[in-house]
Amino acid sequence: MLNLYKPMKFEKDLLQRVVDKGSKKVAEAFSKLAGSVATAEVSKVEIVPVAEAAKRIKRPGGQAIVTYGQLLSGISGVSLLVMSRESALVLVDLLNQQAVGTTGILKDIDRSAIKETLNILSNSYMTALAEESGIDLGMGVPGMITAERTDDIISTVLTKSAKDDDNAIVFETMLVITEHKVSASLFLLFNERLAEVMKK
Amino acid sequence: MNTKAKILIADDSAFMRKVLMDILKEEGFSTFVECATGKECVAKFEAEKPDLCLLDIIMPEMDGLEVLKSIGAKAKVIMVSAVGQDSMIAEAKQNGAKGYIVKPFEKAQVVAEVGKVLV
Repeated sequence: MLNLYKPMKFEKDLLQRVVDKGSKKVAEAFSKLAGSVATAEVSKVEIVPVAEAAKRIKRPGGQAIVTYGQLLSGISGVSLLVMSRESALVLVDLLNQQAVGTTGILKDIDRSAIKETLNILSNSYMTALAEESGIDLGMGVPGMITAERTDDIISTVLTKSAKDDDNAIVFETMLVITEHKVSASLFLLFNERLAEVMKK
Repeated sequence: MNTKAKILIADDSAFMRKVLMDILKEEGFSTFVECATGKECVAKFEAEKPDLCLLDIIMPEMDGLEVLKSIGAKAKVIMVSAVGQDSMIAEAKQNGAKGYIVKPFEKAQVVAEVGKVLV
């Protein structure tokens, strides 16, 4: 039988505050990086069984560019930045302050720019988490994976130290730069023990 | 500002190293040492004796805080990191960092922090 973890009201309030502040910080960071106004079009948190966490990662149609970083500091977690190849190419142009349409193929330096974007956005979110809950989390060196490996990464990281009936907390922020038709989704997935630590 | 200074830039991201170098080149700096890992940074610090180190925290092999603990007493170090928690900034300063720039940064912020250290 599944242990469907039900957060108490004050935990829900706390999680919602993290979502609000985290999404705001992430949108600000993305705007600064890209030099264009970015907004958080989706900003939410869900608590789901660990086995279903991977299903919450929505991927764009066509080729998806997925960057990930493993979260450190005791609580199992992973951070993912997911976007279409088209958005990635435009984002690279914006990050390099060059005309949109310049980049046609992602070279090593472009992949480095996208990985650095994940690093910056994830840490912006984790700063909000630290400010609201006092929990300091760190992140490992980001990497790029094929979209097909996303489920493996999530299940490996989240189930590594989880019990069979553990749940996952999934924070999602979808960022949009309307002017350049760029869309990217940031996901932070933790073992539900994050909420238990927050409660303390 | 002493633009003849040799600046070591340690960041696992080649993109971020390029961004920092481009900002500093515009200010007239021309001598750089690049490192992509913490271990490489410690080795190049000893070999190259840079006047200033710009040090990332999240790096493979040895993170920036460990590097700082190793070289902070004998180097001028400015941390340049996406990690923006107050506790990390305080820890870096306790270990000898002369400045701390949180990514993403404005160009003017980098120039100002470097200017404070390389008077």
